[in-house]
Amino acid sequence: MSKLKIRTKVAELGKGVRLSNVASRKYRDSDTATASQRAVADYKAYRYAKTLMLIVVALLCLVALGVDIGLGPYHIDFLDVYRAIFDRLGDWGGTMTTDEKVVWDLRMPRVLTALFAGMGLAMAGAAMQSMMKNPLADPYTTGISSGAALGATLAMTMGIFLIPGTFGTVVNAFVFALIPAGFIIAMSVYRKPSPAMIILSGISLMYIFNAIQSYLMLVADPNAASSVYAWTIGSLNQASWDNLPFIFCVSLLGGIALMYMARVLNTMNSGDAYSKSIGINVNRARIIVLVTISVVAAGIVSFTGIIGFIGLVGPHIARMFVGSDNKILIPAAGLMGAGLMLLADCVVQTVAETMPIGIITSIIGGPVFMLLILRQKREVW
Amino acid sequence: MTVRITAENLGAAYGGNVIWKGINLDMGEPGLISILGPNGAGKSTFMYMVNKILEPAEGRVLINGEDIMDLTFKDIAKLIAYVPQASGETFAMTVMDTVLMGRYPHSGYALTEEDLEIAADCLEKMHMAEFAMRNFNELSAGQHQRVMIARGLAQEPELLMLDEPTSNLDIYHQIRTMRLLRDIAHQKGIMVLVICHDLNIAAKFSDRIIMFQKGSIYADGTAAEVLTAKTIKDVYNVDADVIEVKGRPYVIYHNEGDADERSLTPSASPASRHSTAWLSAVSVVPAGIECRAGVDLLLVVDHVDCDPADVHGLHAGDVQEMIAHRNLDVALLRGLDRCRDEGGAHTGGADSVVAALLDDELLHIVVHGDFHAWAMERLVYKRPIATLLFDIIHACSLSNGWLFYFIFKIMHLLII
Repeated sequence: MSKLKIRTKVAELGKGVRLSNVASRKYRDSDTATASQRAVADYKAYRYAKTLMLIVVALLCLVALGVDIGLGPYHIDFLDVYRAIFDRLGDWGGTMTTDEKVVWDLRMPRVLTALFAGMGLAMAGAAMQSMMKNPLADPYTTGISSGAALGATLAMTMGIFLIPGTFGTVVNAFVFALIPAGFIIAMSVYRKPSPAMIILSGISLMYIFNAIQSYLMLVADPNAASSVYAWTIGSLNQASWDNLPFIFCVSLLGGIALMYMARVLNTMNSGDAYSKSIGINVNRARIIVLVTISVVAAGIVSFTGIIGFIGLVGPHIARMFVGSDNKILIPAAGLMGAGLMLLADCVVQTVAETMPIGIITSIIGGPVFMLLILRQKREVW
Repeated sequence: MTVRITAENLGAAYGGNVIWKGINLDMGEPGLISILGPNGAGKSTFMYMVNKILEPAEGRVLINGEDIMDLTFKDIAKLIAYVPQASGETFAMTVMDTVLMGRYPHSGYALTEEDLEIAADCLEKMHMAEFAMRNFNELSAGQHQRVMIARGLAQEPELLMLDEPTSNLDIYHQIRTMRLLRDIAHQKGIMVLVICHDLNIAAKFSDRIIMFQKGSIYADGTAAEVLTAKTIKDVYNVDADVIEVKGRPYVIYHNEGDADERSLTPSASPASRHSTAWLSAVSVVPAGIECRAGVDLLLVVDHVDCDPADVHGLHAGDVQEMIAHRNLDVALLRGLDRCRDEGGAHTGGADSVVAALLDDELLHIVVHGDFHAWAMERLVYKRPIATLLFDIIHACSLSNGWLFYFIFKIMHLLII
């Protein structure tokens, strides 16, 4: 099954939002139901349809996972992949077959990294867009990407490590990526952290960091400079079983935290005054969401480099199918992001093995998104 | 049944600017309370204070005897609901999701059946239950407003505050919304606090009116007590008569604005006035023709076959006197037909006035026919080019003599 067919299928499922029409038709035909009872029934059917859609997309992601693991120079059939996984899980200590070795040692780390990185970035992107009320926001808006790039540059070109060792570059990138969040928290003591202030401080930090990083790249030796550049593009080469737990925890826990803040994000869309009147401490909530997004994005970026597009467009694609209610949107965005990353990784494995995934996400994602924009009829933003 | 809100010596300030101070207010009876007052008097600020959205610069607000600074936002949210002015949202959800936002103070993370039923009931009360699954941004302004009010009601508050709910609605929806709010206040036994700008609609439906003035509360009481001609003059600087209609006061505004604050800059003599405007018009109202005061623009509507040499009747000096006396920059002159007698002969009056004005160079543009409606939409001196073209086109419909005269006049103006 080609990947494009998967995408079209999901798009068709989007039209199946009219499942809600089917489910509620029996209430509409009944004369005894009052308007409010019908509204409740319609709403329940609508939620049911959306949850169903989430489950279907999750299953599709699992399928894509299997396909992705199978691709590569040593081709493994789809079913053999799953057989290898389950056999190995059943018989942990025993000797591994070739299939199992390839699947578990070589491919699973990379694919799972792609999955969780995509999920984390897209969830952070959805939360960022809702918080900023800005469709162009992504998790890097506050300057995380330039901070991480600066950290990596310092490590790779100047050899400045905060914690020496194998994780030197990673820790550098992580810490520097969190500087913008720390800056905003410090500023919030003096000024209210409004969306505008957050974006503007992010931009100013981005300029500062970019300037320093550009200078370092200029004076560095060409090998170091080119490895820094390769790092910034975003690739899954660093994926390993040692790195995976961190990315897994960061993405999953961050995602759960953001889902918990979903109602708060919904309300912030109506303005600060209304959010305060409904019982939300807006300034504190904004800082909490910002820190969560920063940790998730920084955690992912420090391992994979800067993978663009997923955090910006994953939420938008999800919005087209499930609407803007953050309770459903954030998990849907996570699944869409994971799916997009798996799709990109499939392309990398089939077309160009050495190409960094960051390039592929942008090249494929752009036209896919354009297609969806042209085909969608509802106004979602 | 309802909560008692007391403001003690409340003061508000933005930055260093004091908006008002020394406000003492007590609200405890259910009903519709309107807050009236001029722009900038601090009405919205007062609402924000009651809700702890803004902190008071001095004084305090008590809810049932407790200082609001001791209460958390959520405690206050269970008692007081705020409905902002309706506007489209960046990421709009369905109407039902929007109303369910209002259940936040009462519900946990998961929505219960009760939450859904309450939200649907509120929608039905606002006659919006059929729109429950529509996207919020697809609705009209009136429908937006009703959904916002439903969202406020879903909070099950004791005090419902609305910030200018009727400002962007048509008359039917203004009246309907206020009537709905009054009915909600009486049926549910809650307080509904509304900031309103229309004095008559507020008078018609409110149980109590609080009139803000810059710096303080001017009056507080029933509509009949608060809305008097003196109050309106003091607070709004507008002359009005107040009559009683079905037991409620009804305000009839006079047409004169404040003579000191004219949008057009008056000058001493018509000549200098005309020199400031590229195309200016003359203000003259011949006898027998009523002119609405405060009208900004005069175009002399004349007939094709007026003989400019026919000069009798009003003299230009009379015109100047009338201008000064009536204190008009311009006024609409219509109904020149009445200046002719049955035989069609000129009776003097407008035609001769026109001629005289042309002679004395007080009249610069003559617009033919019944285009005063067109002209009323456009102030001549703001669109010189458009009016010039228009006039040239119509000059062509005039007789030749007029045409040449007209063109000559234009060139005269251009050279000057």
